[in-house]
Amino acid sequence: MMMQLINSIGAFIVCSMCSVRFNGKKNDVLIAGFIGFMACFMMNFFTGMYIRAFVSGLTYSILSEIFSRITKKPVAVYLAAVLVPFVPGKLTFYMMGEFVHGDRLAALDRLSEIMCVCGMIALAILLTETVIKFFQTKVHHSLNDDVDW
Amino acid sequence: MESKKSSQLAKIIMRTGKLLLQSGGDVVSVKHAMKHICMTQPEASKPEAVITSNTVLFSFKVEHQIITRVSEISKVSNDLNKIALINTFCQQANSMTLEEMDEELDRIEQTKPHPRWLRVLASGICSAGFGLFFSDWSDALYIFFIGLGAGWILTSQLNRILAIICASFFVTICPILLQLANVPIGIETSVVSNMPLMVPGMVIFNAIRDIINSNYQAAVNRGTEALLIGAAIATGTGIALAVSLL
Repeated sequence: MMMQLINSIGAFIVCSMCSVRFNGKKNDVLIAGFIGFMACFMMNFFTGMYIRAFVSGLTYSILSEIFSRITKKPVAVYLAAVLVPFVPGKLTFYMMGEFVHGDRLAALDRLSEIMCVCGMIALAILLTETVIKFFQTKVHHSLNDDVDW
Repeated sequence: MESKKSSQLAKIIMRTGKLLLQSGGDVVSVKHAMKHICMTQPEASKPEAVITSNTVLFSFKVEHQIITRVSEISKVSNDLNKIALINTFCQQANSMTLEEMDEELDRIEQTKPHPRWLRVLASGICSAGFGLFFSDWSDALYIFFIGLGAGWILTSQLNRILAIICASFFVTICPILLQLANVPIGIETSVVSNMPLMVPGMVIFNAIRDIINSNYQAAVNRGTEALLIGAAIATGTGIALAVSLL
């Protein structure tokens, strides 16, 4: 649990500093940090690289949507900064190391892992956006129905 | 001949679109913003926008005239504050006159990003945070200083790809040199903690959003940019690893 908390605090620092680097202001920095904290916290309940990527993706895309509605700002303000620590940089380094050492098969294997992790992140964001869009369209239609009455 | 009001409206719409695209906005947000600004004026109708990752093409109808504007974007940055400000501007545009919109856009354009020293410091703290994230708190101090160096390179005026290659070379070679100098540092976690500074978060996010919204041309452009940046990171790292083997 202690390790989980330390990792999550690290994610908080990373996401808030990434928001500063992208010229985020005041509250947006803290909110981005909180979203990163929660995504890392939820991710650590699961084992398996792809499940963790999916769960973290789902957590931060849902929280970004919630906070963007509360603060009336675009979701990009939070999601762009929070995405950074969860993209597989570690695997990229290992892949390059294997290429440089001449082990191309292992490097290609690593590349496929990277593509799978990125795919899981994209799937999580896609799922969240699709559900949000579906409910927005439904609400929009029902509002129009009320106007027709 | 265009009326003065139509020209002013076209100028405001294009400024909004360009600002949003230059700040790192995705294609759909830019389209919506431009169409929304257009529809605040009752005499304008039928707005159409064609947006790619570096081109803005917009037309609308006023009385019996079609007004068209085209613009190319040369430089794209990541500026979340400007994206938020433009979003607020679009929400308030209904109650503004064209002159007020112009003044507000001037004010948004003149907002300065964080000073360079702050962004470099944020890069250093970000890298140290990654050290915690990857459970390597013993090397956090070294990671912080290496992160400062990488942040300084990334915030310079160099070409973006070159800056990324230089930064990834720097963050890989420094732990190797420190270890050769008998400093107790873990090479893997140090490099891995500094690597995400170069990750193109906004580009990847915009590429995913463009795919979701079926803007495949823009998605391919941004996806290619993300892959190019990934290749630049890998190149810098690979060169440093190859040099270390000599």
